[in-house]
Amino acid sequence: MFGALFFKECKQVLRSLVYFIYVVVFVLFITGQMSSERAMGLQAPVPGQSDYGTAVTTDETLIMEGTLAGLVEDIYYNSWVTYPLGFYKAVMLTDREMEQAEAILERCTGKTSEVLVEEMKRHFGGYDQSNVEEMEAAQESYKVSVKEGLSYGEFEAAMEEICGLVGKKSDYEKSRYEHSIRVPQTYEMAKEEFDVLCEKDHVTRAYMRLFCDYAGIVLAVLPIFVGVSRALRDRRAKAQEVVFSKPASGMRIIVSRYLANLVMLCIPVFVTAFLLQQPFLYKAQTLGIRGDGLAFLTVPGAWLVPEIMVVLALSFLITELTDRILAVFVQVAWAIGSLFGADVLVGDFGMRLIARWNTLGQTTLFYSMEKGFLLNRCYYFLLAVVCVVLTVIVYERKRGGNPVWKNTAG
Amino acid sequence: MEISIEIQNLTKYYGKKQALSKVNLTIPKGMFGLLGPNGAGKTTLMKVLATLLEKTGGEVKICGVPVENSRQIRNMTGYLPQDFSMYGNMSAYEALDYLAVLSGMSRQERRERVPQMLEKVNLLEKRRTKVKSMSGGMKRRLGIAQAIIHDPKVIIVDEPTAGLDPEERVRFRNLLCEIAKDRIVLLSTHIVGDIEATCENIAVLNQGKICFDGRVAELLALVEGKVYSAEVAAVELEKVKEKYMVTGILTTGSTANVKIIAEAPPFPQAKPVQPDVEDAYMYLMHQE
Repeated sequence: MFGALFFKECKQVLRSLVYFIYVVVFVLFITGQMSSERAMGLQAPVPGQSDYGTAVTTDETLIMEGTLAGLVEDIYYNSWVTYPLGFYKAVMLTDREMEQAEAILERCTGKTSEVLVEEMKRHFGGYDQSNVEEMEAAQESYKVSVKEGLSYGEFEAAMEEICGLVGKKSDYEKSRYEHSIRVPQTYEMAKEEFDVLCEKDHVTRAYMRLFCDYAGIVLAVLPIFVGVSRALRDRRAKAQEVVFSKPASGMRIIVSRYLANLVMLCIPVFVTAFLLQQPFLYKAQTLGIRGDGLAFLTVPGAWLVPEIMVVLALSFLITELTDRILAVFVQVAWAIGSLFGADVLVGDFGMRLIARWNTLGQTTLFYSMEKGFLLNRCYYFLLAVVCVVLTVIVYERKRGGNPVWKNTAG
Repeated sequence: MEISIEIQNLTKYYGKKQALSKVNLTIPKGMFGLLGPNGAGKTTLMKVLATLLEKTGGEVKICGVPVENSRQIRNMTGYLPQDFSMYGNMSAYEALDYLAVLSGMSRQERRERVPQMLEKVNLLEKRRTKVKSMSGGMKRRLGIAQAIIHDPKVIIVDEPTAGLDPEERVRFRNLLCEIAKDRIVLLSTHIVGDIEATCENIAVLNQGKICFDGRVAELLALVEGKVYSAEVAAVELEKVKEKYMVTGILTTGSTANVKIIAEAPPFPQAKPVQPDVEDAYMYLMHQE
């Protein structure tokens, strides 16, 4: 009976307009985003290249120097930027706050702000201001020496004070400066990273992580509509009472509906992943590596399925509870918060719904964060299971004329 | 197991509002009519029997099983709600097959029963018609097919003929009579004609209370010798309506033939006539 119900539900999903729109929007979005990623661009670094790209540094001294350089500029212009809820916000400090910021800078560098500003002007003055490349080089090479004996802990405390002055989500948040100071890579660094990408990621896994990064954004929102639509369909079709009156248990009805919707939502994801993976699988072969042909299943399976599960389960729960489209507003707000709340586009998984990895590679960094990532995904998997169980309870209560939220049976 | 519904002191409150007050009823096999005005509590009673509402007090047993055992009760009952429909994009066959799955039927059983039921309700030829394209009558027939698909002992039908044209209504009533041969068909309606044409046993519910429970003949006996027919001037109609309980008026030119319920002959020219269920129902409601 469960199997029959499951397949009938799948058929229902397949016929719905909302699902059709989901497939179209998803495919258009993901192919649009991924079209710029060319497998041909993936090359092993060779000695003597002019540029090996940059990498985020974990060197504490470099982090401090780079962050303090930014602080000198911000103090000089009294122009600060924060991103509350992910949106740009310009901040100007008062004279008193500026004095405090200057004191913090002096504590970290051992120099007054006037001296540091003079040094900054001298540094930038040495470059051609009308040349973009020169300006970029000036910016990249501009560093501020740290006061002798300043520990990283003291630096962190000082930056927290700056955050207190300018507000949350500025460049002086630990999660931000520790992931934003980039240094040029050497041949050895680039080679090591490329080797790890080939050996550990078999090329395709790295590409699938990038796929998941983009797909995760739309999948935090699109399944809501499919879920809400299914949860409201009985009521809209005036079929609720007759379905309630049937012997099938609430568990069987809800779980079959949930799984059918989940499977149908996942199919376009896996199919698109499979198709987009093929050039990279071929590229791996040309590099003499055995690409992971199942990466289109394993990586989105671990990355995106828990996300789809929780989004769908929550939309079922909220809609069963309220009989309204409230889930759309609640969950879209959640998705936006998760998307714009991230400090960096690579890593910073925390408990965020949308796990970001907006880069092809950085394999070593990913595996150093893998535990946190898996914890995040397990959390959402379990949350989805809890939501489904709660949905069954709510459904059974409604069925017996005891809705949790309001009387829908009378 | 005896096929019957036993209701004792059934009470149902919605918040502070009492919808059913100490309802006592025994419903035997066959067609049973539940008559009452809108808002009398008929749908509430039906929903309690279909396990869609929890009772506040009293006892309800269907074929000896307390209504609290909802799973068991759902297995032995079929329910056609007042406002039945299904997913618009499903065909008649698909909708019935879907509901048969929810009734716990195997694939083999469904393959046999679904076409049988569609044939029984005269929808086999229309099995590919989408629910959204069905007329009200077709939907009700599909509704009755889903209610009997798993061969339940009790069928609960709530206001099934409301909104149907006369031909559909007669066809639907006949269908109900056919399926009531070896089970209980509990028909709730405010249309007296439906009961008169189909039920031997009836109960009248008003303001949450049972005000009559018995055979149709017993209901008719209540107004035996109290129904009169008289010809009055059309201009006198208003006065007559004010003074007597008028259950029928047939105006012809300047005169009108009125049907009146009264304890004694209202006018010398009034002649006693044979009462019908509508007269008895009106009398009962007036007494209440």
